[in-house]
Amino acid sequence: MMRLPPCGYIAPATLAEATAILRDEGPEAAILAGGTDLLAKMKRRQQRPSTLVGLRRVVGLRGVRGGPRSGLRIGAMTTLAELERHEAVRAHYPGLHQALRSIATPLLRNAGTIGGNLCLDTRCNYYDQSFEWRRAINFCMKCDGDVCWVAPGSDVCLAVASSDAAPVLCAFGARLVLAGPRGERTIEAKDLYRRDGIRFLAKDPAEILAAVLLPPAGRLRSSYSKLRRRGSFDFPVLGVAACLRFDRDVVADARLWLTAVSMAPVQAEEAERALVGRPLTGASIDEAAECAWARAKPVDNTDFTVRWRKEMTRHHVRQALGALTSSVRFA
Amino acid sequence: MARLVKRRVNARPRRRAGILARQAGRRPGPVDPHRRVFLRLHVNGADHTIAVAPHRTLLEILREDLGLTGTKHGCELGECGTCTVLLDGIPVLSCLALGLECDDRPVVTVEGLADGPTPHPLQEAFTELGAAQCGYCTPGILCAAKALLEADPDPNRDAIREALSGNLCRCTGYIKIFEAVELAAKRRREPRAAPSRETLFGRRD
Amino acid sequence: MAATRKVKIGTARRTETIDIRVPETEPPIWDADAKLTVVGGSYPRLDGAAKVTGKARYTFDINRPGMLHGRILRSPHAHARLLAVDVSKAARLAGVKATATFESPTFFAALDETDESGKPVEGAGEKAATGPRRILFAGEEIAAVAALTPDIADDALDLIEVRYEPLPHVVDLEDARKPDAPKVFPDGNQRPATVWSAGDVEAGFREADAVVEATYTTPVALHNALETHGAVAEWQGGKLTVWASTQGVFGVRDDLAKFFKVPSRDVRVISEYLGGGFGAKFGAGVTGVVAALLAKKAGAPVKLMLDRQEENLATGNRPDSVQWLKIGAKRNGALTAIHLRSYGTGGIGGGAGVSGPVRMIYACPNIKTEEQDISTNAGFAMPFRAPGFPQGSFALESTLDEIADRLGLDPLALRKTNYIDRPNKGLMEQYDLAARAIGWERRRPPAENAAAGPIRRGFGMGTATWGMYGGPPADATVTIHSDGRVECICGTQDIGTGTRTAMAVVTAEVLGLKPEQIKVVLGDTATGMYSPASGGSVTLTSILPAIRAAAELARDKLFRAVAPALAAKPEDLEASGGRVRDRVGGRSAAFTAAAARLKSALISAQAARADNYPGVGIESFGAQFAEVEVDTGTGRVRVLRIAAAHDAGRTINRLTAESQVNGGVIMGLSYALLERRVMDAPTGIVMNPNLEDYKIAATLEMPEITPIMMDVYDPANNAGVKGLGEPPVVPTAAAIANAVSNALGVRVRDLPLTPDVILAALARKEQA
Repeated sequence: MMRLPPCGYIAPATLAEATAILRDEGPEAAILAGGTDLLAKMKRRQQRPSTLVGLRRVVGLRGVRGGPRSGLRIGAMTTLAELERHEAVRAHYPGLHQALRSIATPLLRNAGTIGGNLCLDTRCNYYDQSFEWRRAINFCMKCDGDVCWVAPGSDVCLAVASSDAAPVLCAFGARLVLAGPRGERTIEAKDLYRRDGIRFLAKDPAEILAAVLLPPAGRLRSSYSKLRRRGSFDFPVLGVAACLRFDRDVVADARLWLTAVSMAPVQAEEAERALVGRPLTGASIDEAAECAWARAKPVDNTDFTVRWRKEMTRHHVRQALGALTSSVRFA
Repeated sequence: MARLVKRRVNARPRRRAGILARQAGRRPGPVDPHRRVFLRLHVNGADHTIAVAPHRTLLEILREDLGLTGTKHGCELGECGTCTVLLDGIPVLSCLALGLECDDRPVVTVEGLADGPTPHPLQEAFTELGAAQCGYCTPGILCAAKALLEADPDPNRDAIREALSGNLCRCTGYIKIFEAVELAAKRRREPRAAPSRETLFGRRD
Repeated sequence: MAATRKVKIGTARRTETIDIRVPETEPPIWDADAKLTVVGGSYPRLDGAAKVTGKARYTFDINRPGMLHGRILRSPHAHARLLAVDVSKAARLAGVKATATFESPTFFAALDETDESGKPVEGAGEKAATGPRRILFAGEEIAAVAALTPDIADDALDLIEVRYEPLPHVVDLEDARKPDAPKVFPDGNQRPATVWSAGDVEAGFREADAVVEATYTTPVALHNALETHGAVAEWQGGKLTVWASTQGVFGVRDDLAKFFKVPSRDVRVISEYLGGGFGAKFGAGVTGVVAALLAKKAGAPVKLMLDRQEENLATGNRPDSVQWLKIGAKRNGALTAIHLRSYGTGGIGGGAGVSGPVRMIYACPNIKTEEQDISTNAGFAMPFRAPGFPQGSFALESTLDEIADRLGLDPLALRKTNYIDRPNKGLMEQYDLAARAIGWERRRPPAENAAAGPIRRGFGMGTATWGMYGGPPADATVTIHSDGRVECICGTQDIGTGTRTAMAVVTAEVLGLKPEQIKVVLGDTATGMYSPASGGSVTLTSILPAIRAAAELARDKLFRAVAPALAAKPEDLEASGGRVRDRVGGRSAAFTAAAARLKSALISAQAARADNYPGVGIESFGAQFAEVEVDTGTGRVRVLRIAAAHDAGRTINRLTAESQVNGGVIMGLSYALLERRVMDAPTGIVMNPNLEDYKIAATLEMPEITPIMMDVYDPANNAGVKGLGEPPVVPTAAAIANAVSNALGVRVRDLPLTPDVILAALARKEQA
């Protein structure tokens, strides 16, 4: 039977308490949000925190405030399912809605939270394995070992960012509220991530992601296209988030972010430039897809072959952008 | 590391994990990994107070401490849906829920789906249409389907597929399950609704 | 004593009457003329209510007073000498009540000799060996503990100290065939080939107008029943009771009796509910033995359930295959020769043969098959729903479609051209039923499909067959109580297919009652009513004839008891519609009133399964047609619809039969598109022993399925029933692969049909 390793548990009532506990407990403590990823990893002995700091009882971390005109403030402990059902998200932030719907399974989305998904552990074929196999290869840099088996010369861990929500929020230019022992600060969503599979979050371990701030929906059009084997369960092997702002029928601003291709979400800047300043057409989409394809350099540490995954970048960029063409004529 | 045998404690709890932080002063220490704490569970309408170690999952507590074996072990890693229960009315995986996180929240398992002696329409439809084949995935699927019908009283086939897309079944091919959910939904509007002839007898030319 | 009986065989479309010799004691055969009122209807499972309320207790749910929890320590090495196992620290851990180590090379020898599971003799040829035990695959059992809680048992495993001497291993099929490969067994990795032939294939190829040859591969698949393997064992004195998640309670009993050297009457095995098996749960297995061993040592009941990872390392699999197939045909499609050469690995087990479909399905005068098992340092194979057939079907049906393409023939027409006709066979009708259901006339040649744009549709088909007689021994008792209660008792197990309900249907037919009025007792060796294991589609074919015979004897006893009250002769009485009726005088009594006339509290009759009747067929057949959509931009396959027409001789319960077909189809679809065990060659460890990375089709992968059950009257037994466990999984992958090929004009010869592989095949086509 797969049982959790013994660990302590505490459920603070305020963010201040929670961050103080995290500071005092040090890196041995782990933040428990929905638990859907962390607890499974603990059972596989990939993570062994001495204490779980449950955020369930922290006041004010759950729920969505605001509206499409003013923007949304989403509490980090809002479950993925709650957010998926939220009318404003569905109607005005379709890219986020699509990303949320594609995460794992409905059962996991009922427990998993937006904060948890944004802080989702990076994944790798050499890390997300049974304890026995990891031991047989002498473990890897990310956990209990020294070498990155994906690229043994690498001094950085190459485990891939696997959050479906992260690229969408990066594309939206969302901001994140981090609460720490010394108070709150707000950062760009994209600045949460570091290109390091181990220290993949640019935040202090004692800081807690408290809220997501979505900008006003305005004339933003968004979509998300995900690659995986099955229609449910599977983590992304590639995810493409697109967020365009139109000025009449011309693309005024374009954001294209990829997930599951690197240690952090990746911005496809050349592809964005190919879209801006012209109407969204088959030709501009093809050009953007080509740029994104050139930019995508997946490494061999997820499901499927590297070659096919790179090939699929074109397709999913086309999918994501193609979904926005119907809304071109809104002006 | 040795731990004490868990036993059922009926006495009134001296303290409970959930409120521990607030009771114990400005900044309490966490619950010791090797100490048991009292946990109050509302399961299928009954209250239980039990002493558990912090790392026990809801699945383990239901089955091992409360003897509610209707909820099944499948993979214990969130990959199959077999251990689905309703927590606050929402279907979640009990293998990935820490018992202490369920303190004071209503839990409904397959044993609690019926309304007293009256089976839930889903239970009736699953029985009638043979949607429970070996039956091992059934408790989890029933819990997921119940939540679906509460959110959407008249789901179409795609909505059913989607709602059950986290529950694996290795026997039925899912078809009888879809049909049973549809029948249960129909019966909530027309209590005497019968399954279609094709559903029962298949296609015979 | 045998008697000659006239029996009408055939289908609804055509029948003929033949003479067959059957034992005199056999009841009238349910042939085409039998007028049955209960059999063939649609009945909910008798245990449905227990299953939807959580009251059904599976082995995992059994709790006994004072029960301990067992855990097994497994080898992390794929090949090693086991030098020393020290459990002293684990034994000293508070709460640990028993430990066991399996250092001796012959520890499981008694089990190896008797195990129905197919696990081969451990270290074949090393039986008498002394010295350290050789570990043959990663996941083999090293030691075990029983403790007060699962957590303590887990912790105790960490305290066991093991010394191994790792040896070179080989897990890859092709690597294992190389001359310098590490030897899994002392005599090498290549087991002797099995050769079968009929006619002269070389002559057949010379006659052919078209010859196609190609090589196909299929992956290792894992059963992954949702309930893992496991047992709860309890000793009382010298007597052992075991609750086991098993497809064969009697096999478990006999294994344990032999292992522990006790008479089998002192072992009771119970399996009332079972969370799936699919062929992986025969025999006590190491799990059952270890549970009983720990229970004996601890003097307390022990529950030992495997976790998902263990399940996928050490409880069985479907071997992979490499199949070279060469087929010749005349211009009209008539086959002239089939030559199959194949090999595959069932790890340290055998069973990689795939020739069944080639030998059984189509008419061909010249057939030769050469099959070989290759040993690797991997978990042993177990029968997996139609062992060998899904693999063989994939290669055979694919090649037949290539022949049809080459000759410009419709694939279905080609199958019909090579039809083996018999009056007692419904396959021709099944072809037509399923073809109509799928809309086969919409099938276009690949060249026309290519005009459809990036998303292409295709159609494909395949034929199912399976031939298992079932047979004796199988015993049953039917008891009628004076208060009208009826019990049908057979020790067999219900693996989920609906055995329990089918037993009630047959009993109810004979006694003129409704199935829900019958109480069925099964899943318990203490009944003394023997049944074979539920594998190979033999359960109903074995037990229902015995049940029917017992029910008839009990009914006749009832008739004799009640006849005076109805002023009738016993032979004029009939039981139907809940009444016992005098066909001559017309008087009748309710069944309960009749039972009340009994001069004893109950009457009981026992009967045994007769031998299969000679001169009739035994195979059940089926035809499956698939419609798919393939995205040429991604290579992704979506199965839109599957039409599956099958027979199980005379259908007993339409509802459960259909579900059996649906379940076979989804398992076949999952095998075609998703499933594959991945082994890491350097470490010899399974990389996906879980349900996240071992992909099983879920609801969103489901196509629309049209199951069509037809009755075929072809009685090899008095109930006219045949098996339906295996056939529905046989041709699904083949039908899907053929549909994909039809859509694309490219043949993908490797399962699973993953999008990357399909896209690569498309790219190769464009280059060519």
